[in-house]
Amino acid sequence: MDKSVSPSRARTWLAKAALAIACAVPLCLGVAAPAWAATPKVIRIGIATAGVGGKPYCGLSYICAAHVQGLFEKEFAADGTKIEWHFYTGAGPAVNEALAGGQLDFAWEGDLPAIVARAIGLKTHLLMASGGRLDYYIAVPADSPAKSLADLRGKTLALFKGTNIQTVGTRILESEGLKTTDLNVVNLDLATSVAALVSHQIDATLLSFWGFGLRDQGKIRFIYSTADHSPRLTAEAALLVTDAFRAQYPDAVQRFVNVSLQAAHWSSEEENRQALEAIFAKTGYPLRFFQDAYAGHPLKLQADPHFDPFVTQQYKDVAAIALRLGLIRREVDVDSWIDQGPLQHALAAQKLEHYWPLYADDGKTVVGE
Amino acid sequence: MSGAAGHAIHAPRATSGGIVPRRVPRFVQPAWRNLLVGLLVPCALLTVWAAAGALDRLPALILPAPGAVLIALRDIIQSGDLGSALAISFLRLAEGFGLGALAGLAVGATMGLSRLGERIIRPTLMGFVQIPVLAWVPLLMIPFGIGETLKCISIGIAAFAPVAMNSFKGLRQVDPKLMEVGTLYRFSAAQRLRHILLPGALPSIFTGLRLGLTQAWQSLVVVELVASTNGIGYLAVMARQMFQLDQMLAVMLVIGVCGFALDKSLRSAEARLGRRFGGVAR
Amino acid sequence: MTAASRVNPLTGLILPVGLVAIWQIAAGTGAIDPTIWASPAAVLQQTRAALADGSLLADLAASLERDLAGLCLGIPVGLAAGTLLALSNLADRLFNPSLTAIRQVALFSWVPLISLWLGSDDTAKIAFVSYAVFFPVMLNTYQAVHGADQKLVEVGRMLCLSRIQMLRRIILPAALPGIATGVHLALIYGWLATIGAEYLFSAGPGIGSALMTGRAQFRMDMVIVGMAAIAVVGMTLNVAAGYGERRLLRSRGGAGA
Repeated sequence: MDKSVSPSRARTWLAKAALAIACAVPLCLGVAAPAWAATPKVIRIGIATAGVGGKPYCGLSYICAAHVQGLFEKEFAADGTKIEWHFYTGAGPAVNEALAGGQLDFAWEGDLPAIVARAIGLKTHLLMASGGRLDYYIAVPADSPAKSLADLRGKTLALFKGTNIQTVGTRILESEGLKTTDLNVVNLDLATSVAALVSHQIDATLLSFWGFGLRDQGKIRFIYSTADHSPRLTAEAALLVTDAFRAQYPDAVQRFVNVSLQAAHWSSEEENRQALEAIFAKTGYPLRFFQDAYAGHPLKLQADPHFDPFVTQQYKDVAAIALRLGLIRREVDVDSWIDQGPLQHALAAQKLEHYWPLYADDGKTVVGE
Repeated sequence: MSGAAGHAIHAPRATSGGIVPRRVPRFVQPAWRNLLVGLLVPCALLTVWAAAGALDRLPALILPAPGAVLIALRDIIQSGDLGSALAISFLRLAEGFGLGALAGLAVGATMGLSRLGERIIRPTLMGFVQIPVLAWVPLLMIPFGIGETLKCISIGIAAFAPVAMNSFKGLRQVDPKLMEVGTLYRFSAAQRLRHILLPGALPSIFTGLRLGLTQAWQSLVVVELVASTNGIGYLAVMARQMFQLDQMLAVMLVIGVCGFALDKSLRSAEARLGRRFGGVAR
Repeated sequence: MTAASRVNPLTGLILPVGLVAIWQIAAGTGAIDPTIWASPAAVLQQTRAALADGSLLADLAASLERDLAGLCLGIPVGLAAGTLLALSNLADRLFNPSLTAIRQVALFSWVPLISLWLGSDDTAKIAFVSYAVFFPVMLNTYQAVHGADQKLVEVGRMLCLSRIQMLRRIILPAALPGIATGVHLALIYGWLATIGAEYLFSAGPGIGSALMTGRAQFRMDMVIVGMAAIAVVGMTLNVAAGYGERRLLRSRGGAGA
């Protein structure tokens, strides 16, 4: 038998080998693909607020600082991941709609809308707190005779329902022994409620820094401030991630949290106060508002990302209030909702475990270091 | 055709042989058959929907189970929220419609009865109706805020145009033969108005009122969504804020039923009026 | 009605000019609060400004884009549905009652539901516009096809036309004026729905959003400029559609009208 291979048989063998390789390559690529697909093509971030007139800026969270400084864009540039920012004047409820439609991966929204989202079955996890310990005020027109909350019995109070404004409003009323039924509570968004207040169409509204301008012009007066009372009355906000995104891109989530933590650290350093104010000014509100809002506070407080006992208890409180008021139909388990993993990981990596104090339930006493 | 007995009708009986009396079940009657066929699709959809809900295959974020919608409906009825919301909305509708219809009748009558009035008013009216009611709302919100005045005026604007246009046309389209009769009898202007013009224009005026009420209802819904303080639109907005789809669907059901009832009752009233006043001008 | 046009057209201007004059005087003398009520002069100024920086045209373009998208979606679906229901007795009896029932729900009450289903961006707005456009087109097409002159249908049968040919050569041409009316109404309702969508869904570029921004900032001049723009576009659509309808009617020779 001739041991040499005939040319035609060699060609056939070569062809088969080529075919085999041609088939194997896509297979290998396919196996390797999940590793490549570990970075998403786009990251969509939803923010439950917007600047004046709907400007695509927010001012009060380190997430906003990260937005202006393009930190996420820089972090994910090498992977070719696009970062999409969405700002919602409709606040939390509008963010929830987007989340429900699968249009967002990360969201920054207040406690009440986040709880509502969880109660209706939106699958998310809380990653980092970002409430900022903002103070709220009950404002009345300058010529109103009301001196305290009790004077508002039977009067019209505007609250932006479905947002954490409603949380604060409910807490304030109940702390003064009033029920929401003692007043005529109407639902208005932030801009409309201020306009309605000035034109005497409503008697009072709950607001924060966006009312400073009118207060300084003497058109409205504050008759109540949470700054004079317990921090338990303020509202929280947090960064959350959809479970779908979290399951598919855990690395991206960790990196996102890393960058957010960097921004939080940066926002807490006193030497950056002026730069922080400039970022706030991009929303269209005068930076004087920011200064007034945080005049007496250490910057660290507003950028505190911890889910310490205080913040956790605040969320549980809101869940209870929401259930009691019939805003949600099911109980929400807050403990299983918070995912401390990425945050703790980032804290350790950036050696910031002891940078921010942890607060106990009352929001004042420090736990641990 | 259908006897008082209800369930069956009897074909005529012949005394001599030939026609065998038949009992024709009522549900085979064309009217009933059409009703059943018409109900097929909604029943099928309802069944699929309910089954999906029972099998837990419905994402609650897209569609709650039909039972949940009914429960939500029951809840808002029992809590009194629906009752007070509907009361507020219908009162508002009545006020706004009354305002707009009155203004529309006044303007329409002026244009219809006076040629000079028509020449002066008509171009402005034509321009006015080009601006949709929706476009007026932000403007009115500046001085009037979001209270009753805003809503009343918006609804009034919506009702105004159809009423004005139809009253005007109705008055102008009165049969000239009837006008001749009036001249023959040397009717004074007042008599002519009372005996010829008004009865002749009434069907058209009523059509205008019906169209005006339809427009008013649509505008009520929009205004209550945009400037939402109370009323049926407010219930919808609240359901949206709280992402409560079952309540949302319940409210939409109520809105549909109300719209249907309004339209139906007006159409039957219009038909009766048409029969009373004869087929003039319509 | 033509008697009015034969007479001095200036009589038609008395009312509007008079009203604007009163308005300007009231604004000038301060009889009306200037922080709330803008004067005609301010409105003119704002018009110039908005045209100069292109914002007015940009807003209009954004709104019209959405309007067009909604029309392109809703009109074909309405045409198909109307034709199907008119041609098929079974489909008519099956679907007409359900569609009539759905139609009873006031148009804008769909907005909150759509926002929960589709969010608040352009997709939702376009979906809403399509829905608003669907019913006028469907209803008018249904009536037009249903009411196609029976004499013409008989001619078609005499000529032994197939169903498709019948449709193409007899029924659709006869129904064209009615369909044109439906499309005319679609243009009107579509524009209305586009503006309303911008009020009720999230902010984005558009003339309706510009109106709401003007309101939020208490700028009545901005609002009035926006209103005028909306009216002008609405009027243009109305006139264009009416013109198209009349041309169609003329070319039909009045048949099937």
